[in-house]
Amino acid sequence: MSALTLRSVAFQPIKACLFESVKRPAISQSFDWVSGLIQAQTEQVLSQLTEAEKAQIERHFLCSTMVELPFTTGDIAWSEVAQKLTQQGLNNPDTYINAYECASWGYSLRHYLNYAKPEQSRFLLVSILDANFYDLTFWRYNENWHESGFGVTTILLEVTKEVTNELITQCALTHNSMAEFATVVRRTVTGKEDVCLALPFFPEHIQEMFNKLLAKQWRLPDLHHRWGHCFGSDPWLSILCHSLENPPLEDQKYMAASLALNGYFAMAEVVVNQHTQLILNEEAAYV
Amino acid sequence: MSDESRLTEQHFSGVLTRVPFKGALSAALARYMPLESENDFEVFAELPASDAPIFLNFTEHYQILDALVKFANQLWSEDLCILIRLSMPGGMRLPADLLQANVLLMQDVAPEVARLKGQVAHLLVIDDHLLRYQLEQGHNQMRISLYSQGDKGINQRRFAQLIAPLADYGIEPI
Repeated sequence: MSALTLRSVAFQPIKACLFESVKRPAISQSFDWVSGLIQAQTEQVLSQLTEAEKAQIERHFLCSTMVELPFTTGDIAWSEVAQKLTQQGLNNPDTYINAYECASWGYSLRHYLNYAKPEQSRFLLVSILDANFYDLTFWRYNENWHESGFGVTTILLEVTKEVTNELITQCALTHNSMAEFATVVRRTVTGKEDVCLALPFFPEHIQEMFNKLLAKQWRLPDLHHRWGHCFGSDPWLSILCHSLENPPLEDQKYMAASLALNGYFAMAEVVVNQHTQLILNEEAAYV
Repeated sequence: MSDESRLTEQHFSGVLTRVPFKGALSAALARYMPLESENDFEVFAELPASDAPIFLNFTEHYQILDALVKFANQLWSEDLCILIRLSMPGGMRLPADLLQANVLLMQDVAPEVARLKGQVAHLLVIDDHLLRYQLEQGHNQMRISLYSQGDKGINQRRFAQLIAPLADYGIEPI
């Protein structure tokens, strides 16, 4: 039995061209809008928890790959965003991590598992935000991963026993990160025929590498054609879409895996079952 | 006695006053995002540009952090947790020691300091605004803090040892 159960997974797609039909507002205003989406999604994700269970949520990380420029330029400060989020609800994120790019969720989880007190470590929330706040062309499409997809993902994980080999955080040693990642993925699921892989979404020429290196492994389909590359959200969106189409009747193990452009990667083995709350919202647009 | 009451704090505030590796060649690693549309150019034209001098590149910044982390891991070889204010864009891959399990890289260290202070034996916090490119805001300042349990004298001596090499990089106390 895996130590991590996915109690809830939600994805809120966000329009790629956020300000196509409206004048681009001040960044603080658009960030307030996105904070509202995070707050609403957090409430959705926790809606099936009892009050006693909610009291056991130790913390909530907000991760990202590409949302950094508003902080770099000093237009907004995380302390102000976090303060507003705290005022809006008890379980909103208070920690912002993007240094590990698409693998940030896994490194956050690692830190949590290392430092949370055992009596407080039952529930963890991780949100992943990627939104094109400046409508920049590079973030919509580039040669690394072609089309991008934007949105907010929130996962609620329950730690049911001590986590040992269910979480892997690593960094490639060479500059052929993709092949190293695929090799570690393959090694990790060797002998685990009941674990299904949920991998990042990439365009076809990169998928080819997975098709070769992971030909015999059980994988969820790549949804790049539908969603684009949604950064750290991909494996969670993959599990969400598959589970919505094929509602789980019993425990199903997945290996959620993300790879960052600089070679950091994270993998977590999680259980999805008939009690996992699955939430896919309509695309949100700034109006 | 509670954990909090045995806690001692050491702080260092400094500023980078020159290039950190005098006489060494320094690669021009600052990159600019590819801009294509009218909107892209408008956005970048409106972004603030820092007027503080830029003394280092990504490699040199990571080199300083890596040296600090390696030395700290030697000085406090057990039960050391390190928080570093560090975000993307990374510009390049981070050194391996910065990716270890006792290190957390984050946008704003304050919430984690509040959470872990007094809860771990030794908490080292590196909070710098050493500018690597012109869009970054700040004044090349670096603040290092240690929240430690155990013998105050030993921790004071080790903290002094840790920050001593910063002068070699041109990071002067303020």
